[in-house]
Amino acid sequence: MAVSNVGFNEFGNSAYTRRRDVVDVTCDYAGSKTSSFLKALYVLPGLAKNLDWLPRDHAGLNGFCDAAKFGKLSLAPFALVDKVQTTQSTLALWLNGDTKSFKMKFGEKDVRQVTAMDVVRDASGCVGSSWDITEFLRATLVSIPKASLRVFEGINGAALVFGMSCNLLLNTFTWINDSKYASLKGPERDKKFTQMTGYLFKMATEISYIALGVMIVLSAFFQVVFSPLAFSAVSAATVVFNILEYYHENLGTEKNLK
Amino acid sequence: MSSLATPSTLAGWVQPSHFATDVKEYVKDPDGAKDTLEGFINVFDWMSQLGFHKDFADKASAQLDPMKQTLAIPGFVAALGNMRDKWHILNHTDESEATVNFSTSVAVTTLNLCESAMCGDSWGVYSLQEGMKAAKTGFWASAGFLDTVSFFRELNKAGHLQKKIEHVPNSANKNVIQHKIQHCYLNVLKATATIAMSAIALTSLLFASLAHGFLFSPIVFLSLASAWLILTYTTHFYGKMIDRWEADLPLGRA
Repeated sequence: MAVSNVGFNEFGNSAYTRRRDVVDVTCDYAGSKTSSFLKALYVLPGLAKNLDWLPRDHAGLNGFCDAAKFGKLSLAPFALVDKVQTTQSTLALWLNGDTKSFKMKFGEKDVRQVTAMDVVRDASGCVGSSWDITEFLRATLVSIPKASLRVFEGINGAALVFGMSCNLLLNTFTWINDSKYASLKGPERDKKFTQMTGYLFKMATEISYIALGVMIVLSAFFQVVFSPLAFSAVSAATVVFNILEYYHENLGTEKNLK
Repeated sequence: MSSLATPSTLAGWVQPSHFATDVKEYVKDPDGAKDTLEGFINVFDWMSQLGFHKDFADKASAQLDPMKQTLAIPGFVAALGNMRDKWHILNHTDESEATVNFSTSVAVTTLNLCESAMCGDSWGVYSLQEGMKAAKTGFWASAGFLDTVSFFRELNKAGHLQKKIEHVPNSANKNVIQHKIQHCYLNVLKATATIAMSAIALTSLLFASLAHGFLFSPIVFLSLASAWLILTYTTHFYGKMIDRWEADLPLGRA
């Protein structure tokens, strides 16, 4: 006797939709944020090693961290292609005085006129990818002494500070505008509250990146010495806040399986 | 006369072309990035084979290959999620496609798992030793299975489109469908290249324990890999072009 599966719906989910659980969000994070996923795989063990929670001279662990680091760096040329084209599009829109649909959190879009700051912010993203490519080439194909790249490293830090400060500024304005929700009631109020928490996570990620950028600038241009633990801790903060932001935004949302 | 007289002219010059945007979208995707890295490795392999800057090419290929394999780790995690989704659909519907989709998702997961295992060995995380043969077998068997499914799917699709074209009166729509049919046949060729590569790899692995084994010239495998890469890029960008032509049709989708 053939038994149909149609209508077998024990958790209230239809055949092609499901509420995202932790496993779903983790798998989606690896697929959609590959670079961040690989970064987490070497930054978090790196912090644990600096805190002496993990051995520093374990060949297998070091090999794993190297694999994740170089895997992430190998994506840098492609990230540069993406960033250059994004900058080109934004620049073209700015020259024409057009509007652009900026991607916001929670699937929202902000359609507004493109400003010069948007162009410079997008262009600053190219510097980070160029730095990653240099690191990638230095570690693989080309022998470049690290000392000769000191200035470029500092510029990379400055670009990081600038880009993330712009994002932080825009997100702070969004957060302030969204915080006027006293008149809302019930589910609408809950939704708004969740969105505001999401923006807080995003802002925390951006602040950690700014801190990292400042440390890079200080060490590259002003010879300020930071302990490896300090760099590891701030890098880990960027990773942790990024993961928290992603899980907060996606956990429990509906997933279309088609 | 100046071509940069108006801002809109400059904007038109700065604006990325459709093809450039397609390239961006392709390399942004982890699978596309992996295939692009594979393309670079292939070029270095050819350089080494032809003796052109052999030392540099050997070094570059040996360093890029483990990095490409590392991308299989996030690919494996993402494939697990996709497999779970397909399992969910399989348990909730009676569609015949659901079983095939689940099987292919299992094959993708196995392929990524095997490549991740090889990545661990390449970076010295552990030594696979005898397990390397199992990992390679799993990898090529999965790749062969996936492209066998793709081979029949694309042939079926081409046949279906061939029947559809007879009932389309509009010449523009007919033209797009003809391109779609050609796209299907290119996909069939691509699947054939993978099936050939997996057959060679599996035969070599199967007879590796024999005294003489089965020796294939490296050129054969390299040529097949190049053919597969060229077809992969061609089918992707040709598909994107067809999508654009279809979107521009006056009577909607072909």
